[in-house]
Amino acid sequence: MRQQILALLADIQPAANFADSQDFLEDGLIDSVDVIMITTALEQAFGVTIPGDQVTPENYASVERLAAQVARCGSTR
Amino acid sequence: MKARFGHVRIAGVLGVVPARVSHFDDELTNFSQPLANSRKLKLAMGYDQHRVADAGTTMSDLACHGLRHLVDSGGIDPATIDAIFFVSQTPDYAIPATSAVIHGRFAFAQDAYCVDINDGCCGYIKGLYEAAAFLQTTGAARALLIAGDVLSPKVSPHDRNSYPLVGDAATITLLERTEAPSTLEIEMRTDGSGWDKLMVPAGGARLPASNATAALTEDEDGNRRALEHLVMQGREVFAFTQTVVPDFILDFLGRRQLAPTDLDLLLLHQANAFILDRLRTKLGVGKEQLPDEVIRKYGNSSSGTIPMAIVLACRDGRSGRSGRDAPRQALACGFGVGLAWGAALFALDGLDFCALLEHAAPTHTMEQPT
Repeated sequence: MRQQILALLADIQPAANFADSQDFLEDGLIDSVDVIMITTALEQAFGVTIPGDQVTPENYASVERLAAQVARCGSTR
Repeated sequence: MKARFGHVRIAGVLGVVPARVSHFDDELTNFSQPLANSRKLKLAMGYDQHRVADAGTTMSDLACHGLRHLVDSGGIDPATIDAIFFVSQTPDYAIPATSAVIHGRFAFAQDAYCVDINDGCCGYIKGLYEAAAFLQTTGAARALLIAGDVLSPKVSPHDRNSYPLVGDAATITLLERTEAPSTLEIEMRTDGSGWDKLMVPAGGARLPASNATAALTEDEDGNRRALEHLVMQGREVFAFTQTVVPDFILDFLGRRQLAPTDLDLLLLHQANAFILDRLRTKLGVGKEQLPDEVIRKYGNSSSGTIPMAIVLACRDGRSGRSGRDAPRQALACGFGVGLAWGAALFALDGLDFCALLEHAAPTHTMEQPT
């Protein structure tokens, strides 16, 4: 899942180094609009629906947090 | 704030939009972000098209175009209107009130009460309250609620976060006092600690417009805007829409022994398609109940989006005089600038008029001071 998420992030922001960041927003890798694109991409890639109240900075801080978000939302892929 | 009115109904709604349609695909090169990235955003946000007024067209131009149509078609008689409530963040002038400007263009009575209310996304709910309270306390028969914004001049065309969302529109709602019971229930909330989450920093008394405030600067997200343009703290505003707003709706309905699925229509402020999509999931309703056609086809006109949603939902006659369908129970909910949020519960039944008009720029006239 990690590699799939990294590929998805690179597709949205090709120049950013997501693998080494533990806080995407704080490190300036993504903005609030990117969060929306990431949400939509995760939903399409993993067949989940992410509730709006889970779209928080904390849940979009790192690849690991995104993977946990997807797992919480019930992905079986 | 809570209020319950027992003898007030929404008698008609008219939307007026500029004829000019602007497509996101044609705006891509205005933004500094890579085209591929913007195209992804288009899918995620539902960016498609919005209505943009031509330079010089104001809220009163759109509103008076609609009023002229209503007067000529017999929808309203200005002499029988007891009040004009004008809700907007984009008045024609700093002084005088735009409600007075509109009053002066038709044969309204001199004892018609005219007032401007500066409000945005929750403004329609506030306007409904003001109009209903006026009808109840004065015993008057009819009030006009004119709501909307011509906000496009206040949004930078180089701001990808905001410009594609904004759509100019004016709406006219006729409210009437009724003899038969007709219920309108309203609740509103304000959290002024969020006053700066959505704002236009310059152009008022705090920071007057100047050459400096008109200069474009680029923010960390690559959006270029001036201090005279709308700026939004997107992360905070989004969180507000996904926590405070749905909890408020569920609480409002729950205290009335209602669930979202009991309603025929959930007319939520059309902030953006992503927000509405999440709220639909949270409230457990479908697109038929909670539509997003306004934001996808016309754009966000602040206080104008809820009446625009009424027009799009009802103009096919389902709530018209034909009586084909039973009255539709609707919950309207506005949320945004302030921060403010509010809801109104009412029935849409037998609207005397319900239509959408286009306004072409050449018909407007610029008034000059005498």
